[in-house]
Amino acid sequence: MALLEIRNLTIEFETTRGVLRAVEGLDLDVEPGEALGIVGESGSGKSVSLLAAMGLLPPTARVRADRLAFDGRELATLGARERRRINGGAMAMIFQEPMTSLNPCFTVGFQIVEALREHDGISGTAARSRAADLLSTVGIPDPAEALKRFPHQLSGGMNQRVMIAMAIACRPRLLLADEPTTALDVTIQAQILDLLAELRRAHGMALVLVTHDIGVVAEIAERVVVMYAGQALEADRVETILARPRHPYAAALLAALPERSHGSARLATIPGTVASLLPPPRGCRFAERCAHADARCRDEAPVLTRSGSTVIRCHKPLGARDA
Amino acid sequence: MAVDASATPRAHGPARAFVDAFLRHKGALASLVVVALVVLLAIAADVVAPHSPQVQYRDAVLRPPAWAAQGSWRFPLGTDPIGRDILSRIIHGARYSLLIALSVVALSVVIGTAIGAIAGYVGGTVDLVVVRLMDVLMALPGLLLAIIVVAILGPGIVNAVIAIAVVFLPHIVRTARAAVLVELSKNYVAAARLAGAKARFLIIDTILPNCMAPLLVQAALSFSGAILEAAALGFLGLGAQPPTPEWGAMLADSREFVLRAWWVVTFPGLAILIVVLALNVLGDGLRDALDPKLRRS
Amino acid sequence: MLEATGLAKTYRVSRGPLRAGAALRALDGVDFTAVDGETLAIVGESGSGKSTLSRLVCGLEEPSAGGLRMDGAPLRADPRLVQMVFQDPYGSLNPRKTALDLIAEPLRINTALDATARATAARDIMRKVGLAAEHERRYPHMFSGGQRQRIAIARALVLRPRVLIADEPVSALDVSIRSQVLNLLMDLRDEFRLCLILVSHDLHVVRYLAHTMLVMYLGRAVEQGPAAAIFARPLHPYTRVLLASTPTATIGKRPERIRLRGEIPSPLDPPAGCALHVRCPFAIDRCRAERPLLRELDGRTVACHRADDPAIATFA
Repeated sequence: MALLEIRNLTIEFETTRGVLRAVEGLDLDVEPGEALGIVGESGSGKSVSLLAAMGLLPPTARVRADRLAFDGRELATLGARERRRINGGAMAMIFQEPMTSLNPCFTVGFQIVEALREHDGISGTAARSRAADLLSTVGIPDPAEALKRFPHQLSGGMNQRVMIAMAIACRPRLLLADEPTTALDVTIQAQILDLLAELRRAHGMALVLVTHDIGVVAEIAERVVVMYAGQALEADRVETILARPRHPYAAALLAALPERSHGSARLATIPGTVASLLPPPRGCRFAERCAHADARCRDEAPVLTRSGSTVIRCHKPLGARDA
Repeated sequence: MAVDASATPRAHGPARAFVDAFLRHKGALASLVVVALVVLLAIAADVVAPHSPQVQYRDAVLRPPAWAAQGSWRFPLGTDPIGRDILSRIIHGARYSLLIALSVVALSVVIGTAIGAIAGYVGGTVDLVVVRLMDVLMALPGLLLAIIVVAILGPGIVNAVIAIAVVFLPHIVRTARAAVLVELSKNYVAAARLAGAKARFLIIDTILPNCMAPLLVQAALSFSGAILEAAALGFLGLGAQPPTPEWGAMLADSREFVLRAWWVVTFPGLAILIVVLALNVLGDGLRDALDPKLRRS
Repeated sequence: MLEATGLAKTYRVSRGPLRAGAALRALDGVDFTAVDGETLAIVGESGSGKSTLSRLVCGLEEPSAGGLRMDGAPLRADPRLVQMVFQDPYGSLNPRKTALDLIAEPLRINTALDATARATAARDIMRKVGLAAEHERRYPHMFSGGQRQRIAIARALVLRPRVLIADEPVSALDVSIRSQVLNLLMDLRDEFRLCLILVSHDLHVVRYLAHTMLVMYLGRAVEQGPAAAIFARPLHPYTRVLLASTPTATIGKRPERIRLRGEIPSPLDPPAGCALHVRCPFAIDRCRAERPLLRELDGRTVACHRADDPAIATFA
């Protein structure tokens, strides 16, 4: 049984210009211990999906799903207290901007101890000692001193480690990470990704990593979901998608990477920009930018089809006519 | 070369966006109507008012409003201690209040913005001196400061305007300085500098237009404050002098008759209340429309 | 051709009213040469001094030491010669001006052209960057990130400068838009024979675009020379770490696994000797004691005592 099961997730927001469907028909499965990457650009709905799983969306968001279950339990039916017990406990999340995700008014030690107190019920010296252990696990030098520091006294990388420490404090079975390294330097990013991989290995923790950087997903994920304009367009094992992407968007995204344009005089591009979702296009959302799109693509929205480990939403997937 | 033909659906400039946002604020709309009405009355005072504000009707001293016993519709809101029609005086008084407020705001905003912008831009010692000076001015209670200025310059409407402008100046300077400081650190200012812009161009052409929002709100709110301060000075006899039908002065004239004839102070007081309230709500509406962070989406 | 010699910038940081100000050496003596029609990439992370360097080159700030020469003659801040495109497409355009006004502004400030002539020149460059007539009267908030960068590029080039500094021009853009803007920069570089100075932390972009590169750490140049040579065989440990830390979207092609310890030290208190030694996996005593100077090795210059030490080399 999957640790996190999402079926047909739809998230809508009321705006002055109408109802915005930020996410439509998203299916997601995370097995225990698995690393899943969600790749998408701005407006793809990747961050909003994570927030919905954690129940962190504002009341103005309308979240509907056929199934949104963690560890077999339907999250929508849980009361607030039950939900809070899971959030930060068995299911935890880390965010993109470490500087603003930590409370600037309290020391790092205070914030970690708060998490421990809420979920594990320990406090006082025991909690502080455990907090110091956690800081040491995430690679912060001189943990006892670090506990007394405020977030603004630490660097971005340090703050991200603190956030990870808080998140893993109660040994979560699933860690959701929303662009955790985007705001960090590349050498620090490598350290943080190493840390996440190590924590997965040590605790058997499942990881869902949302990012716009395909390289990051290649480094750390086992399966990948590619999202665009609120929909999942392709999902597969990471080796498969990187070597043989079936959806034209995934293929175009990979082709546009500078590292794949060696030897050519120009970089491959994807013409145009993301279609407006107010109102959403009638057919495939990628159709107007797709080199292969035809009339059917523009009129009829493709549905998700599964075959083996591949999930794809396209009328004309690449390689379908391969010998 | 691939032409990027798309754009976000909002196809309006900043002015139109502001009007749209403003129209959504029901309170501000109502207040706008009230203020517009007052302005119209002030402009058309000679035509609208039933009597002249100066004429004294010796036979109709201290008459109550029309609906009370002994009142008549000849003097709808009654008469004052020397027989002048209160309604007419209030309508004419609107002129004075509005003109005073307009002059105060114009004076303080023009001078205050200049001082604040220069202080914010130049920084260093100049900024330090300006800020401290403004702190000193703000440390004094507003009315007290106004009284001091009038005491130095002498009573009268013009000097009252100067005095109130001095009271409001530090607030404008602060707002302008803060707004300029915020914009200074932004990249579009660096880009303008990179294009060769010098100080004058930068301040007037690049930075100040982007500081308009807080200044406009400040100006709108100062408007109502100015009316109140003018009324206070008038009440103390330091602003408009009798027989000018300025609302505050009207209160002063009739102070001793409050118990015998409630209408002589109530209606001028109500006039002040309504106009100030309307201007405040209008200012709120302006702020909400101009400040994207407070806008309800 | 743009040459920089010994560029340095030190800021005084106040440490309170009672203590003397501390010296923050943002840039500590950097030389480079940028050739017409070629791209020089300046690579580094936060604290490397690359932003300070770009601000010195375009004249937004004055160097504390060192100078610039254009075709042999000394160069001081001149908007007609050196221009810059900023990283964030959202804050670098005046929200109250239309696209046409923004692009024509440098002409308004620096030339005596009348309004019609300015508009014509602005339109001309707008076409070149891929903006159409319908975009002229629009305000910045009506454009997407990629379009705003095009406006910024058009504005930077309307005066036909010799040098264009692109400071992380695509980092804030969506991945699918990046290649459009990068292609545009390359085309314009070729058409106008620009010295393109690309400041970037993204080594994939650098590898694709750059002819020469300069790797910086804590205000100093650690390795510089032809990009192809450096990517083929990076000699400085920091360059190697940068390459090893950059994620690649290809499974199986794993660069060497080498990491730095800890965090970048504060530039207020840089380490003695080699700036990297506290974090470098190959540091020896000499690295602590003696600051390495740039020396020629294998077709580029590198500042490392152990650059030619076979014990720490990985691939041939």
